[in-house]
Amino acid sequence: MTVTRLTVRALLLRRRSLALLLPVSSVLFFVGLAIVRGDVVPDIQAIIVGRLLVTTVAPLVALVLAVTAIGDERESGTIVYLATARISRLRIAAEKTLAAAICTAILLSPALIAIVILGNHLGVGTDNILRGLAGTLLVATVYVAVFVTVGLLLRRALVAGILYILVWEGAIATIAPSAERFSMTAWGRAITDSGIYGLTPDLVPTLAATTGVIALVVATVLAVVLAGWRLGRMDLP
Amino acid sequence: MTPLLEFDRVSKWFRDTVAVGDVSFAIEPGVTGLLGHNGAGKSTAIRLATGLAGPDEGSIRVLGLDPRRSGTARAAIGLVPDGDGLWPGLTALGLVVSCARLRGVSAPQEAARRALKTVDLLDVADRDVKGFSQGMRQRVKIAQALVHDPQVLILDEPLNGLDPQQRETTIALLRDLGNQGIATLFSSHVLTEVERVADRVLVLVNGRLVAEGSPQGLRELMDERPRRIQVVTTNARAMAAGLAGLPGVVSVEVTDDGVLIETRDATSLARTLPELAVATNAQLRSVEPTDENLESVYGYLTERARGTRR
Repeated sequence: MTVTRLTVRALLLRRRSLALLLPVSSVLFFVGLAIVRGDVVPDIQAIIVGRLLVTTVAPLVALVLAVTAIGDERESGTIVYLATARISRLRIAAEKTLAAAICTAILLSPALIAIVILGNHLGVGTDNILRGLAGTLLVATVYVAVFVTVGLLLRRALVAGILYILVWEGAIATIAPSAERFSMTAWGRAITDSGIYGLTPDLVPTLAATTGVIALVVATVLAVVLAGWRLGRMDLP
Repeated sequence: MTPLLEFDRVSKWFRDTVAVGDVSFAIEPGVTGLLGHNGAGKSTAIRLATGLAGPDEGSIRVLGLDPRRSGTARAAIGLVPDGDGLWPGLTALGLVVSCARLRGVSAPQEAARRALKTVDLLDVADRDVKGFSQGMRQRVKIAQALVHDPQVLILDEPLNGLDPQQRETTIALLRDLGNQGIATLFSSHVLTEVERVADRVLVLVNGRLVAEGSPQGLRELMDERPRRIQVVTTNARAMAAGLAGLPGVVSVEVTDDGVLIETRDATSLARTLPELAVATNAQLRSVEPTDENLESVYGYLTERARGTRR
């Protein structure tokens, strides 16, 4: 797990990584606001976890860390030490994904603590709190895997990723129910929101939680395999 | 016997540019210098040798295996890249231990300490590499390349950016490694550096291998080549007429301020010029070779390789 350790250290030592706490703090803000206002409507759980954390904040943090995980090494030239080692390129891609996922979870941890507090405040039950945590982490992992791959395929992966998150996941897939089948955040919301009772119909996920889990796991595995394949075929500096 | 590293008619293009063209060579134990000017294809050849890039044509074998596909082949290589990048937040020991782990070394701590001792950095093993001088960073890079006891050590411009003392230390280290039987391939654009270290030289010009052999052989080849000498004088025409029949003189051309001579015997020309100047009543203002740089040597070797020059 040397690649994972080196990557986690490099990602967490970057000052720019701390800037990612800014979008994370938006979750803390809205959780705090809900508690201060004394709101106890279940919709709040779905809006803050499903619509804010899973749809926007987790993908943004995952995007930046995933693109940086390999991008920084290519830029600094340290990737040659990995690529000339005995380990396979697939393993490098898998460990890079794991490292970026770990860092994403660490940076999201204040938001994860906040949604536990929110769940308790709203009284949605331990099951739904755990679903919220698991769904968020699964979505973050799939985004990391996909954006590591995109980082190996496109030069402007960060721009492409932001457009994808805002346009597809944030707008089209949220509004058009038919697009939900192809939306990673919809798969995540199927896990985080499908057990909450009393949601307004617009917020009830159309996919089952099991479908969401399977889709996220399959997408993660496919993305890692594709990243390994791409890394194995590309010329490195 | 299978060569440790072998290029067989290897070519690599970047769009329309030939980075390496139809290059074949094999590396055996000892030090081999890869000589070429900037952009000659040295770094591309090294990237190909280490599996960082794949050839468009031909094949590369390390111990008979493709370094792009075989972990065993990659494990036989130690690479010292040209770039200065090292992972942040690590001590010299931590960095070399990490590289040992990446290469499957069974006792990484011990191996890393041995490698750091080889490059004379054991005393500062627990210091963060961030505070190291360029020479020390270069030695850390060499230590990480040696940590898994590679059979082939490849160094991309290892002397670049080093001060004179650091150069001497690195040259001595490369010589030692060569004497220990490690097949060492290092690139440089400085002929005198290559001469001091290498048992054998490969000369790349515009991606093509134009000469190979001992440094001595290369030096003799350079000594044999016709030299171009610009003579600034007051009586160019008379001087030119006198020079035309001299032994070794290949051509004489009258220029605006003197004579441009091409000769195979520069020593004899140096003796004759003052006598000729007296005989023709000309003043010699300057006598300067115009092709003493490496570019012209490479140019000569290229033309020779193409058969356009004898």
